[in-house]
Amino acid sequence: MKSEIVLPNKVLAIEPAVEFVRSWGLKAGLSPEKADELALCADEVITDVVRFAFPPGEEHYFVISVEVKPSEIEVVLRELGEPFDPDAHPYSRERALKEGKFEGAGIEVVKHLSDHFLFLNKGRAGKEFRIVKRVPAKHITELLSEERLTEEPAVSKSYVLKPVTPEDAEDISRLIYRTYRYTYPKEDLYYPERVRAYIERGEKFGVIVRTEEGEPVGYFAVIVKSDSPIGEVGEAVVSPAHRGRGIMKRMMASLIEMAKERGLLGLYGEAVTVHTISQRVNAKFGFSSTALLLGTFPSARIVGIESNYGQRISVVIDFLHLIERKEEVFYAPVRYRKILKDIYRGLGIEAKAGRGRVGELPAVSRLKLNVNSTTGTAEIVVKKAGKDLLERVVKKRNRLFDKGIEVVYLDFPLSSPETKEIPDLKPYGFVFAGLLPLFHKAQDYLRFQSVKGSYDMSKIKVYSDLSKRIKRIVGRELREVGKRKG
Amino acid sequence: MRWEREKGRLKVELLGDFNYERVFKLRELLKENEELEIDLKNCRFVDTEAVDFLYNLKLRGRRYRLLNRPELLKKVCQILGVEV
Repeated sequence: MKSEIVLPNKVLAIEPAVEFVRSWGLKAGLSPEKADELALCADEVITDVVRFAFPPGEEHYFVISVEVKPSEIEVVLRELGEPFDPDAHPYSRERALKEGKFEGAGIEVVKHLSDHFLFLNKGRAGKEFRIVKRVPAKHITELLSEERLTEEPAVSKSYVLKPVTPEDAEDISRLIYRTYRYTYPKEDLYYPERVRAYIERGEKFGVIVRTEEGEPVGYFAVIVKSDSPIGEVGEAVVSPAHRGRGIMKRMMASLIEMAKERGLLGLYGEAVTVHTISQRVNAKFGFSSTALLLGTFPSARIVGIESNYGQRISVVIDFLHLIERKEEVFYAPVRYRKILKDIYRGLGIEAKAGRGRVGELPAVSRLKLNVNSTTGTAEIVVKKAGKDLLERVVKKRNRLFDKGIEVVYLDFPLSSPETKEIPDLKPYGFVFAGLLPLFHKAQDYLRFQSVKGSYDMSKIKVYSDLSKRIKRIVGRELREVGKRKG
Repeated sequence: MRWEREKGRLKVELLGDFNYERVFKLRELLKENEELEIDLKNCRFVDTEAVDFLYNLKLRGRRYRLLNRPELLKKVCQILGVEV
């Protein structure tokens, strides 16, 4: 759920803007004390913008948007004021004590009272402050005893499959814990309140499978993408004692039908590459591999895998269209046309490289940034390329790396003729990732990726022939940018 | 904000958070050598502009009293390593 307001750069606007943030904090589930902390963070940033971002007397505006997720609330403040770098003005306790100078104090407080703070200087496109506050919730292990959590239900003669409802939340968390203990990468699933909120808000739908006695043994859900009518088959679990009985197959078939009924255009899976099990399941259901994303998840111990995997977990994007697409025209640099055509062919689409003319680029690019502070990843979506594109993207990537983000993805629309003019991005540290079908506003995108750490490609296991080809390209380019281990 | 003057003392009751807007008004109101008393019962936070204002009063030897301090003020002072 996203909400946005535009306010003038007036002192009088500070308090209403802060109240807007505070009330959304409470709605997100923060306690009054935590909502006050978030409100104070907003006050500090807004006050700085109102006082210093613009020349005195000039009338301007700033935008505050709030996004509420079951696990966190994110406040983003954007303005088009003068360049400023908060890191160049750090708070000094000694200076405050001796001279009474509190420069940088506001940002110091924001850093301490928020769970994640990010400042981005976007050049001519202005500045952006991002403040994240996590919404506390009870872990399933705080709600149920270890004995209750680990009780494995007896094998059943038959199993009942039903669409999930908010009332299934606790059973889903219990099932995840019983099967994966602490190693499932999507942490929200261990918190029944968050699972419930996702289902209630319609941000995910799925099925649960129970024994004849009503005990949960299978769960599979689709998470609807917020900026495109496609969904991720993102959460799947079958209790070990009940595997090999067709439960996964029944659940996937139901999910595909439910997704069609909801009008989704496609489904995709982010299949981990520490093994090929999920990729094989996806292939069995007609999904085709389209991209290899490096370091999507922090390294975690995965059941059955060596405890020290040694690098972040990469995923293969597997895609299944739910609509008919037979032909497509796309614009891409010559060096990627062949692989893109083959990826399209895997999806059943005969694609042709477009030859449209590119006019003069505008001075300023239009970009959209999405940051996932939980996984340490960010994506920059190019809405309209401009002359300043590379300079801005590189600055933004460097800034994100400085702030603890480990991987930055960069998406170009394949429907824009400008995309075929993209220069070689390797000198800028970006390597090929693949094709993202219908990923933003129902359009196909060409994705590149820039990684902070190095990757050992031999640890990345892929299944399909297409994903093996994509992996070879990614590995080759990764070596060229000096980010390949071994 | 509500305020009154009594025997060389400016007594103020803030009707919201202690922020830049209220610091600005206080600076206008406060006379040279006048003592200051601020009731913070309606404040949920005291921001760094207000901490700056109060600390500088203290640094200049001006006397002030804060009544009904919000919990968050203690936390902000701990973060900044100052006392007001």
